[in-house]
Amino acid sequence: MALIEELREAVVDGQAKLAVAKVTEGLEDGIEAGRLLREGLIQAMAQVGRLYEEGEIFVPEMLVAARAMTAALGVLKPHLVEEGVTASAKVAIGTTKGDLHDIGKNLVAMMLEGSGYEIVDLGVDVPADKFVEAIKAGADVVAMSALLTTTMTNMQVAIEAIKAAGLRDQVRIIVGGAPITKSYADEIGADGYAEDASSAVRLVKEVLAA
Amino acid sequence: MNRDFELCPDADMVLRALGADPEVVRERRSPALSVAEQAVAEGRPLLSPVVVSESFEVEQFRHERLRLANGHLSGPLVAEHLHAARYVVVAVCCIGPGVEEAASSCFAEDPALALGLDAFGSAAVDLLGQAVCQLVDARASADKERTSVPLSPGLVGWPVADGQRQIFALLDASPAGVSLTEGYMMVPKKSTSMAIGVGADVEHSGETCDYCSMAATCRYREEHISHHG
Repeated sequence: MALIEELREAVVDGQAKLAVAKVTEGLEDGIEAGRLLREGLIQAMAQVGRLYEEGEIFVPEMLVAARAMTAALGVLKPHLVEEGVTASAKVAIGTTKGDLHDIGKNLVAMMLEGSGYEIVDLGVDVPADKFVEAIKAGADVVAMSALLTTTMTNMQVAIEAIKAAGLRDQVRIIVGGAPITKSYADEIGADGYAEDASSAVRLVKEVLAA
Repeated sequence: MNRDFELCPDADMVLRALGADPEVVRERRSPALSVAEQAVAEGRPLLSPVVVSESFEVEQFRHERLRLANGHLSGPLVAEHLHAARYVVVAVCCIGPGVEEAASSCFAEDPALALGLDAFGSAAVDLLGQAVCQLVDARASADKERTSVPLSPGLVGWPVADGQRQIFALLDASPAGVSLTEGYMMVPKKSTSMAIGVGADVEHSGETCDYCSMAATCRYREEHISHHG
């Protein structure tokens, strides 16, 4: 089995130590870090996302795969910098003002990072102006999460603030969280809605391509 | 205030709280199982369960509004389930801040364990809520009365803001260390609030999950139902 295939398998199976070993071996063998990232880690996480969406694996298995990917990415990062490999886009992610839930947001951030995006994690209880600042700092996508019906309305507040700052055309906005629906996303003027971490990755690709 | 609860969530409960089928995970020998086991080992010593609860006699029921001794509960869901209650037990349950603090602090280092701990906390607070329901059931049975399905703010027909406002107006949860944010979210997050109607004519129709807006898509519910048959 080729090394890159073994790397993909290690990530999909959630074998963090093996994934790190395969990345290290690949670098020692002279394989470019960018190739290990694209053909190894990113493809593995895409496969993980597919398996989850097809109901073949569960959230905790997606998590351990993401953990293996993160461990391997840690080894790759300095080499990616040396090679001048940059992220395909920058995503600023946060839970809306008034909401302290972070688990779903963190999971989405992990999956996006594993798919080659640069993540700016704004944290929880994020006021509208922080999203605006993130766009000014170069975010291509803003991803907002809310778990409560009482806090999801702050998504609209943030979108209005982004519009008021004249930045709406420069950014794609996606939303998610337990009480959010596609019709709510449409109603508040978001570019898309994702129902879980895996579909968030697909959605980011779609909105960036649109 | 009652601290006399021993909660023992196990790895299977953690996996179910993460939406997974423990049997399948075990069959695959997935590393997710060891994450769940680690979450249990690290989470158990951090549990500090506490419940504040009080019973309120029902003085009047009118126009979807249940007037109680020191306040009221209202809304379509309250009317449907509590209209026949002689009294209502209102409770706020919390497992303490330890588990969620541990989850936050280990996220950067080990996100899988962090989410495992979060799921452990969810399973623990679920068990605590069940324990409270059992206590209320036992007392009701002894009095030859029945209990309603436990109602929590956020269920369909009882919006979070309305329900939390009503419950926290009836009950001082501060001795348990539980407070509400401006968005009516409980802190610590691993807390639950509920109202249970008790009376001879109360009907226990359905389950709490039936009234959740996520009932159709919730994987935890699916796993929970398949586990309990």
